[in-house]
Amino acid sequence: MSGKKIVVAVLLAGVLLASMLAQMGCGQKESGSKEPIKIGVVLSESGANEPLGKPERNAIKLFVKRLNEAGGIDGHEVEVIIKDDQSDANKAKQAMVELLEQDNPVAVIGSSGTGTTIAMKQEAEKAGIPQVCMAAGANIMDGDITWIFRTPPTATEAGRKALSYIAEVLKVKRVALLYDTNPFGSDGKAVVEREAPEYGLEVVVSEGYQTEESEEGMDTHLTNAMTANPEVVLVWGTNPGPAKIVKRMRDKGIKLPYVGSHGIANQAFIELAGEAANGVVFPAGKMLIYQKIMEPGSEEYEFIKDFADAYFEEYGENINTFAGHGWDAILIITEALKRAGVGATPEELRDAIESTKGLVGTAGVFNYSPTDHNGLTPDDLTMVEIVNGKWEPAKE
Amino acid sequence: MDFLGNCPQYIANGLANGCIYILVAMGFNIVFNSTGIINFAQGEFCMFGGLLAYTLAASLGLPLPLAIPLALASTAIIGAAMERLLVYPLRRAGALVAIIATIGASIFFKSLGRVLWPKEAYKVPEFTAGNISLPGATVSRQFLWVFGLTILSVTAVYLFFNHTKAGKAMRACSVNRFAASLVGINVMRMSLYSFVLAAALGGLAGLINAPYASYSMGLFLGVKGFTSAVVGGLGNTFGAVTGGIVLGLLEELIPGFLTVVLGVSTGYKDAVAAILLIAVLLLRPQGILGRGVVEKV
Amino acid sequence: MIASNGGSGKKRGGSYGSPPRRPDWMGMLRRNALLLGFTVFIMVMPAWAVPLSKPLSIPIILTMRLVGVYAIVAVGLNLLMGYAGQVSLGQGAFFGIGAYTSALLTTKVGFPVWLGIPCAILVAMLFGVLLAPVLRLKGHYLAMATLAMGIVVFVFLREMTWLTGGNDGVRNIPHLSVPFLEITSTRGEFYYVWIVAIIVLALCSRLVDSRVGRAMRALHQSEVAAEAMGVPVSAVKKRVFILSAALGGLAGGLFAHLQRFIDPNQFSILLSISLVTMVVIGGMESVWGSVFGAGLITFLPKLVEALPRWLGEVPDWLERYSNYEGMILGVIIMLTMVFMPSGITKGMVDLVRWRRSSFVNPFRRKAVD
Repeated sequence: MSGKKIVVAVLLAGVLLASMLAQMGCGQKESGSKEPIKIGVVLSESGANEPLGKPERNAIKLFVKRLNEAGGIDGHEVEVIIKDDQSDANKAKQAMVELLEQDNPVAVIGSSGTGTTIAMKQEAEKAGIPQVCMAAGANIMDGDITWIFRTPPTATEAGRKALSYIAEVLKVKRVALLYDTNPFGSDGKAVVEREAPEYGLEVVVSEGYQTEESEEGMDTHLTNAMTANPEVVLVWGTNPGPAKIVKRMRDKGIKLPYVGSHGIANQAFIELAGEAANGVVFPAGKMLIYQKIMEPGSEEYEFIKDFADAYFEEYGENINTFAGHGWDAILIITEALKRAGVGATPEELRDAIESTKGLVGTAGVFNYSPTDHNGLTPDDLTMVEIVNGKWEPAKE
Repeated sequence: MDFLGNCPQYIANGLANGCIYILVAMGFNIVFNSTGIINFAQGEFCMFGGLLAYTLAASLGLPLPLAIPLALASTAIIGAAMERLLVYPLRRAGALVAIIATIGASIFFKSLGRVLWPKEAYKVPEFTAGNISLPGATVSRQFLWVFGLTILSVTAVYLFFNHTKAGKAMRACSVNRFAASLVGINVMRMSLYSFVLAAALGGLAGLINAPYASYSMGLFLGVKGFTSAVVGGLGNTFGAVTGGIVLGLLEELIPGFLTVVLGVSTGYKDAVAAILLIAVLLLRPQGILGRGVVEKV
Repeated sequence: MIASNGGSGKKRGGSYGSPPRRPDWMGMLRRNALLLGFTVFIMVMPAWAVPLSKPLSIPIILTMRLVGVYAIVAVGLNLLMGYAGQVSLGQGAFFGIGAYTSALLTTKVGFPVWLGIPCAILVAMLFGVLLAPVLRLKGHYLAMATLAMGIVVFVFLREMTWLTGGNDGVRNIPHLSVPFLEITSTRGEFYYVWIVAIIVLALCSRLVDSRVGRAMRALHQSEVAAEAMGVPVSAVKKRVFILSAALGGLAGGLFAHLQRFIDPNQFSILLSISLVTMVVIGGMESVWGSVFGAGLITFLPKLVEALPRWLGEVPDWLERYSNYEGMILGVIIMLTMVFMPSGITKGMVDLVRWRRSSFVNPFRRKAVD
């Protein structure tokens, strides 16, 4: 009997403690001059999409820090509440509902991956709140697009860019596709297989690999692919898989051109692949090589340079495209907020985002409209070639 | 026949992977023999081996002949610490408690690895770069090291178990721990030795599996290593060798056959090890080389 | 299935086991005090938890929905592992099969949700029957075979794109519903899940005290002895395995309609491992322990995440809580296993008893085998 009493006592004590904490919590909230503007962020800081989520988070935090130092929006500070979905759609959905129920954000940013974004999108539709995602998956925009916007070029654009490069610059026909079996890779596989006939290309073999496999495991995939007599190898995945494949390919003396995806648009690929990285061509945002293809003094050049310098100063790292997607996402929301005014309803904010025209971002110039929530065009992508361990514009 | 033409390459790849699996499998066996525990953190020892080698050789710039023994020694110390802090206190616990505890250790190690080595992958220096062209196949020079070191390790483990006092004592523990303690064998010390040895072997597997290592590689190698151990017969050194080679070859030949001959995509490659494991457990639970050690129900 | 199982167990117990007696209402109340108390606790939970969620930065009701789902599958797993002593590291497979069954039937075939979930149970049971031969294995071998089973199911969910959609997953899964009523609010989902969970809990606590339950525990202690006493060992094992598969399917079905988007990565072996962790931390051979374990494992990340917000400004490295989640969880698992191998709930109860009567020492408790 007294065992139960103890349980009751513990429970009571817990409730009391919790209500005290609640009081404290309420007390803290009163301070501050103007109500901060809350923006919810869900990112994949761990798990399969970690290489994407980490720089995105850094960029968003830096942007908000600078914005608040400059006085915020109409004197209101911007507060971002960042949650990690661990590249798991289930956790992304949970994080999204938490944000909606707990924090009442004006808009949400997220997520890094396709599955996680779709899980969030359903909640954004249900709640009626603008969502800006940083995932490239082509299927995100299937169905209702009322509330969702996107900053990166889609997988479809990247796939088309790569395929048109193969068809028009390399002038070859037979493509061997190697894709990561994770969501990033299988999304790319779907795009490439769907779009290839439009460019007169034939996907002669599609091999799925796992990014943890050893170099010898990759060798088997390459051997399988070579049996189909391809003229170019197209690899769709994030690090380290593509690096293992290219290294193995060059070790084996396979001289075929290697075209990658935007998933390798980072320094890590060059570090991992070493010498073998030279000659690799992949589609990426122009930002990656802005110093080489943009006029100094132009608006875009100065915008990216400002971002790159600030990012380097804060984190000691060079920018990459994913950091850029995060920067663009928060930029688009805050610019729309400035136009719609603090205290705008979700509908007004969405309309403001939809009316974004000619906004210079890191990935290109954003033009949204009620029917186009992607914002970019294929021209905002460029083909990049790795020459002597450096990114150079590929000849087009 | 394209498939037959590719076979030398598949076999070379399968052997290279098989060697790594053998090393991991021997780690499982050694711990299982002297403690009766399946150490789920065995894969994480590989992670530590690979990533410590990266830190010592690439970041701190130590020469490889110094960095590698240091990395192995550090991994062995981690193994010893795990034994003293976790396995020793659980020496009287049942199988389930021990399994869960080592799962806990593996979750902890993986997370620790993530904090210490946060990038998605690191490049561990190869012993010797470059490659060799054989008729029908190209292998990296690293492969020779992998092959040689595996043979060396298997021989050393074999000699240790059959021709040294400590090794024989450990084998006695695997037959009957209680009886072993009655004849004066310090069972707990054997348990410590076995973890040190298993960790070192795992570390070796991780660092010769170069040139890439990442914090997430533990589970991948752990499952493969365990499968190899079971396929050959859990607890048997030559079983581990057989199992590792069988798994390594099947993993390359089956997807090769599927793609080249049948034209089916090979996303199912990840399931080869798991299916083989289930099949062997159901059809021949004592393993290919086993002699009916598992009691029948 | 569950209902008939629990029911038949009770009936048999009544007719063979104890002499017939008049209904003893006070006795029944006393025996079921924990269940009744817990039911009341859950029913009034939103009243205090909703106002507390915001200041605490922990979405209590939202998280509790998932706790309910995990509690169902964890209780099923505990019947198998804790009571019958059969380790399974592949329970996530049944969870995933249940989730996919209900999700595909409701989105592609147009089944109503209240029909989809029973189908999820049926399909999961079917797989349970198919996979039951693994029960011939014991100990480590069974653990690894079930782990492999989990991997195989995961790979097939991912690769059978014509059926499951592969990595693209299944989206726009309808909300939970009863006939003529769709449940969309968090509170509604909370009650839906927990009513199901409490029914499952009630049936399972009846089951473990019934003839079947005693048979399960007997075979856990010694299969030979149980067989000698007339317990049909392999049939009982098989039945418990199928029951736990059914509960996995039920939980999976609920999960699919709560999350409304599923993809294979949600059902990887990491899920199976965390389910085992829930059971073991909560306590083997304890239906209520599994509920506690499910709660602890599900709330732990929320707590770690909320801490920085209670403390105000924190350094950046501390804010990346997900880095440390695994370390904290790993340490909790290891400490529990070393110091309280029969689980935290039992360990705590024993600790209280020990303080009073020094007969039961929780730290010296012989571990579950």
